[in-house]
Amino acid sequence: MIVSIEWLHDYLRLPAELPAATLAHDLTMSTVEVEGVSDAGEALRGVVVGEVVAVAPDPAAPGRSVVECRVGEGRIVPARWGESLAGLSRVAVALPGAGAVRDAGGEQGMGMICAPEQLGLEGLFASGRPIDLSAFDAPAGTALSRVIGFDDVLLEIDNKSLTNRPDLWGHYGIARELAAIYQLPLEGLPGSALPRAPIGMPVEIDDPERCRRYTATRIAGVAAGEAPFWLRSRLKRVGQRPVNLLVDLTNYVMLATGQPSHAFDAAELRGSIRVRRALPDETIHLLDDRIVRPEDRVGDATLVIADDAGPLALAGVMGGKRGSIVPDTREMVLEMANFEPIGVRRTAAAVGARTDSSTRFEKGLTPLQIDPALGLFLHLLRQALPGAEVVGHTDVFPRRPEPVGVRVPLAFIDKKLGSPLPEEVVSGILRRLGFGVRVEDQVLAIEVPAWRATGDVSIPEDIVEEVGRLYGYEKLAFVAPRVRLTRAVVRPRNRMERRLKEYFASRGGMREVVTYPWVDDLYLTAAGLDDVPMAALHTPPAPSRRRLRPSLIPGLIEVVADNARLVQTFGVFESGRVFQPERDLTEAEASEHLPRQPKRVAGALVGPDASALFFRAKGLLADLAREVQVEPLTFSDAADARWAEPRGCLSILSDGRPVGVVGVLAPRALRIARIRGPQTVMFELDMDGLTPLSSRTNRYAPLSAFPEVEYDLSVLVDSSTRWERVRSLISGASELIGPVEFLEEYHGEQVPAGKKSLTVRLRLGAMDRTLTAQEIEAAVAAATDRLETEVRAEIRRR
Amino acid sequence: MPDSQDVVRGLLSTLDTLGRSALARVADAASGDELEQVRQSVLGRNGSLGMVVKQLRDLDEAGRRVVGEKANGVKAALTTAIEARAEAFLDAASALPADFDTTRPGEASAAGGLHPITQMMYDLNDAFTSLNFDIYDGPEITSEYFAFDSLNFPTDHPARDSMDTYWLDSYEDRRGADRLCLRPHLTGESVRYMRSAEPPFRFVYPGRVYRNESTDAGHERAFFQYEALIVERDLPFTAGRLLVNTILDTVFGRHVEIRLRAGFFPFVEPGFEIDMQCQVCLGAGCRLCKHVGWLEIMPGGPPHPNVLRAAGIDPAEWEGFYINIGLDRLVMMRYGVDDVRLFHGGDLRFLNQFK
Repeated sequence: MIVSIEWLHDYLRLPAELPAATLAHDLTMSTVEVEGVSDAGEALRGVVVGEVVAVAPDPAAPGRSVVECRVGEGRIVPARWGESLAGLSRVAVALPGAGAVRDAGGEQGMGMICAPEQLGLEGLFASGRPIDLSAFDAPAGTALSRVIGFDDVLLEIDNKSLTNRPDLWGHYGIARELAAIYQLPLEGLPGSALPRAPIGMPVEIDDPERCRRYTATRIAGVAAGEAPFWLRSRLKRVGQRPVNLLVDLTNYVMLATGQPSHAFDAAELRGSIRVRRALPDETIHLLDDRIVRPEDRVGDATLVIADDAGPLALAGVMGGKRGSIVPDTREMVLEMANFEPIGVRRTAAAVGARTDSSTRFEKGLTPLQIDPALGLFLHLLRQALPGAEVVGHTDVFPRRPEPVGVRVPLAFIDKKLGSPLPEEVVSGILRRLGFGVRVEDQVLAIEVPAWRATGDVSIPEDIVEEVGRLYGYEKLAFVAPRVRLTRAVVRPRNRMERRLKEYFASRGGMREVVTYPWVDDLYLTAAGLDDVPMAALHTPPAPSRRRLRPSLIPGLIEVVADNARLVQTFGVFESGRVFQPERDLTEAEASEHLPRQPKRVAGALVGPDASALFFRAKGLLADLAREVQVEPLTFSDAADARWAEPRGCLSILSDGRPVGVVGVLAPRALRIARIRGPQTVMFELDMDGLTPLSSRTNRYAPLSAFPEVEYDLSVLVDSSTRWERVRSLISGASELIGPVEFLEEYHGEQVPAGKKSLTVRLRLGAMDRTLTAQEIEAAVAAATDRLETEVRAEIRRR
Repeated sequence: MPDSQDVVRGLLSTLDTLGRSALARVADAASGDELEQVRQSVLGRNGSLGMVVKQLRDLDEAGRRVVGEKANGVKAALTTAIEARAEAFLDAASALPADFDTTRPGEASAAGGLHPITQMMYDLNDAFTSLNFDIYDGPEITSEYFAFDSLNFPTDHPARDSMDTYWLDSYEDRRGADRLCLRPHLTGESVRYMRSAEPPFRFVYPGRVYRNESTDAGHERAFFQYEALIVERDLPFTAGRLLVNTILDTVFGRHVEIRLRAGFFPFVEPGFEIDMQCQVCLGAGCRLCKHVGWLEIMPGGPPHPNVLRAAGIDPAEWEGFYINIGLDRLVMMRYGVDDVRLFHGGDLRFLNQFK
């Protein structure tokens, strides 16, 4: 919304020395955000009143004129004009070098006679002709902006910050705030006596919930001529194009008071006025030539103003073509009504016509705003058209709103603000804002003014806000919170999650990514998750991104596919919630059936060698428990993951329960996701399945006083013989054999086809003695014997 | 038969010669092996020194003493010289090849790291846990009850429309706790925390929220918020500055000036818009802050009494202060990132820039 400071001066005397920037700042701090301060005359710089002293044919262009204009203090500038000046004597002249001249591509040293279009003054002066200033009493050389009232400063107010303040949608509301901020008296709006006679046609409200008040005022002797210049100038400055006197007056009153209104041509109205639902087959032809057909409307909720011949207007949104003011309108019916916000918002959205009127009704105006608005309208109309006569007035007001009162102890305000304020300060602020205040025994009995009793102010906290914001939040000193420390905050799961992420990032060398919860169907298919029950969005971001991830794997496959086009070796991981639509009984709200939303962490290692990646991932997962401080993880063969190759896939267990899967991404998944080139190994862990240690759990074992011996052994076995078998055979061969370490698996020269060479490291020792050479030999021999017998191993090196 | 005096003199002179030549050979030895040869040939079992000592038994006592002392002196001198030479050889033995090149780049450790928003979140968590705040983490699919009803949003608040909220499919006809959506903000979920906790408490709530909007460089459908709430028996709202300062000072690594001004949000009363001094111009006015020197950074305020009631907390007894800040925007400001969509893009060229 744009606010003119010159307009505000109608309602209060702002100090002349107050800079607009200060006013904008103060309004921003206390009331609403001023987004910009601008000079209304910016585009008129260098444009002045010029007195035509000579007109001669333009030697350069036949049919055009060169005009000499006096622009004050004896200065004469030449300017061009395309046609005859038709006797104009005082016109708007842009001086040489003015912005308007440059914009028009004017010549050096020449001024320019301006038409309204060239200065953004359409609607204030006849279009396509030089601006005629003969009616203005201003000497030649006077700045045009001063002559036409554009020596004004405009405030641009952020509409969002006005959401809860219907009272601020007009200049008067803003003036009231400024009067409170600067402690200035506020002028009242003119009242107006209304005739007792009704308008001569019945007015009915079918739905008093949606239309809370409807007033119709019949005025005879009107003419849809031009509004006074000062009024048109104000409208123009705040962005409203002048149309004709009657329409301009409705707009002006709305911009002054926030109350929209609508003018009908009385001659066009038939029978009675009804505020009713649109009929199922009704088509409404709007003022802006839009046609609203039944199929454009939300259900049958559209509210219209209708007479016996059909709809005249979309209630609170826009008038219709029929019944609108035309040049020969002689008698009008002025509608000032109050419509309930939600219906207006719905209707405006449904027909795609948000208007100045609907925007205001959407905020919830008080039905009592009609009275001052009507007073102002009639006052201005009589000034402009002394012959106009109010011949009838009908006011249908089914239920007057109850007055709102709030009782607030002064101590309550002091406590919330953190600093005590004197009673006079508090009640002074409230009174200047229009609140009725009585002080009884340190308690304020407050009467909320109608324009704030719109749901905006109803509880003591609201009163604290009024006092705080006008006293100045920045004047209130910081008060350190006083807290009682009872115990340290320990959240083992939070700690675990963070360590887990830091582990994958730093030890795993993987980069954390964040993906959307809505996954593309393509990657759900790649992950083999098509037929899993999934939560879905009603209005998804894209048709293929309707379903919410049941696993982190599909999102990571997408990340791998995207990055694999650029790099061939990398690691990524993600942690977050997945969604499994089945009732979650652990949630506290009995009536809330939320889906299970377990937290997971998943990773992908990408590189040329799938088996190397697999063992890197497995090693990372095996070491995780130690770094992350959780119960140890083990692996088992029984994995069920449709994205993984069955031969290259393990189930991850914690305490014997499956908590995840690690596996090589299957060729089918690579194909569907269009990952060409590198191999991918992925894993996914259920964080809720991991058990964080409540404290570090280390057990001390006494150190052996006797040396241990390392013994490396290479054996040749069938390539189908699994490591775990070899390890357990060696490990069980002798009590002297401690941990058996895998060193290498070798295929190649000197290893026959169908065989593999395994190199292992044995650790031998005893707690009570140093082993003799014979004991060591015997233990190793026991192991090799078992390997030879059980898996037909050939001992290559010992 | 030579005079025994002559024999003694002869042996002493032999020892002199032997010692000098052996010391010279030690000095000349080019390797540990050569040095060992010298040692063996002089000090070994059948070494030249031993040969001289064998002759001692033929001497009288006085002669044995004189020659014995000399022999010991030669042995000690030689042993010391050999050890010193051996240490010199050890010290000079390098594991490096002669053409070792120190200018080659070091071997890269794996290039992993946390997402920039996670990093910021953890920095903030650290700051707040140092003030004894709890860290909360609630569900992302929530109900209309928590997303709107509990927060004092009017029944027909525009934000409830599907234009802004991602409602779940097949819940169109339901309301309240039975109508599910992706959480549009964290504040509603804070009510869950409040319901489960006994006041007084203070906690932070980092998390991702979802809005059904069209995206561009400044707008995302999924973004991160960081919420902090403190509930105490006496908490004037100027105390809320502590929350704001903790966040901004942590993010920028220095004290950042803030200001509180009037604002409106249904779930706080009174509502504040909280501005921070523009960190580009430090308040002088620049393009970023539209020449006002301040940037609107977060909303805040005491929870509306209706919100406290929805959380089962008596507003007559307890007071609080909320703030809620968009993490994406903070990270963008901190690092000059110009497109919010990069955070969800998974593009490693972007993510790898963050240490």
